[in-house]
Amino acid sequence: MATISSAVFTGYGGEDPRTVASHDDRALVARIAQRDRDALQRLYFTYHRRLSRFLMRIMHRYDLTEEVINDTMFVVWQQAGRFRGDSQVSTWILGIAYRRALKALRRVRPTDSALVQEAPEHGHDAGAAQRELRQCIDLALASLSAEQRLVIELCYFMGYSCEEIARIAACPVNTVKTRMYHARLRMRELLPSLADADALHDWNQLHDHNT
Amino acid sequence: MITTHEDERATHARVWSDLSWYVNGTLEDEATARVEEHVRTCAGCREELAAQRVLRSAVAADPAVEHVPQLSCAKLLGRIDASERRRLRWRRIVSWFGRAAARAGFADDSLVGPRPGASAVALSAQMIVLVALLGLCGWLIMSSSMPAQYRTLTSQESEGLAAPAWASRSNAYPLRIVFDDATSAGDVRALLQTLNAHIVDGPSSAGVFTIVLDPVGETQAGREAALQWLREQPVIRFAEPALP
Repeated sequence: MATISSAVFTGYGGEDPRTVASHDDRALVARIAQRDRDALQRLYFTYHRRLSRFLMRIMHRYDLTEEVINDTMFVVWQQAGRFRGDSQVSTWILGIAYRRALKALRRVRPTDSALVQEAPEHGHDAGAAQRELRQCIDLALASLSAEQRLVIELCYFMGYSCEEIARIAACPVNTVKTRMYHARLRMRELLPSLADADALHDWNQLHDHNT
Repeated sequence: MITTHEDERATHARVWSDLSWYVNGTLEDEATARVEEHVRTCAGCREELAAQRVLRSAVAADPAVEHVPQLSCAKLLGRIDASERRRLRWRRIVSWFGRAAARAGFADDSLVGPRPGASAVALSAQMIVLVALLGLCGWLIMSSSMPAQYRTLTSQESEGLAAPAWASRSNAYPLRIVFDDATSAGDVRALLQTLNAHIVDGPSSAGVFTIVLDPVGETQAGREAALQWLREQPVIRFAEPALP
């Protein structure tokens, strides 16, 4: 069993694995199909940050996030030989993660208290009003169905187009649009003043500060 | 260009739907132009656009996550190791029975190899069922030949009831044996029947089977006699008590 020291991880040849994102993902998948564990680790480190950010927004629990990431990469290990290259590797991996996240979300629903406790903190003092609005948005998002929540996250957090989300979720484009439609309707019911000018001004300022 | 009311409604519905992807910047040029033209005159879509911008800003904020991929990756590799070990163990069992089937003439040698195919798996499954049935037959024979062990209210029996054969198995003295490579399934069957024994474990990676003798194995003399007899059989390469 591989053991990794808790000390500084030197990766391969002294290179930080998190900076090897430029490696050809397809070549890595082809090597993984040949049972190359080195390739699996490289791919793991390439996608871990992206997946953990995405999944933490939904799970709000690091243990579940890690479980879904490892489930996803275990499937990659088992099915690398079946990847035909008819989609991007990122789309393929996100598709696997999407299905695993869906299963996990249906199994565990985050509680309201958990959301309040684990609401993400911004890099600077966002103010009480912004924090309260942020928690309201998180609670509203938590009330969506798993499929609707994932569409929102893939669109607004990961920045995917409608067509890309359809490939990840393995469903028609119209299905993605329908889920987004119902998600937005639900959000309007719960947060009717979301478009309020004050909130918009504050959030846009905050977003500009953080980017 | 004259637009009908229906066209306007269709455009409104289409723009409303596209707003999410206009906000995240992935909408195509033609659709983007349509959105920007429509929101100039539609207050409802302007309000919805504002709401989606707020939502996107809230969702797009990076959560405070401590990234520790090394530890998580180590867990994944451990899981892969365990999965590989299970796969190899099953492959060894299938290969052993595949070889036994080939020697017994049930199948040809093409089914025996490092990667046994579906036919070898099927034959191996049949061998496992056969051995299990042999053990069951042995137990049935023994239990039918033994006097019924029950006590009535008027029973004059003073001694305690003899435990049935199956209840003594957990206390029986197991033996470890290794068959010769040329041993056929028929030889295995005959040997087990002679001893009134059945396989309770194995084969191990070294081809070791653990057998239990009923009811001979319940006595020290019986165990010693069985061990002596086994060591004299040409099909047995190795026999020893399983416990010190």
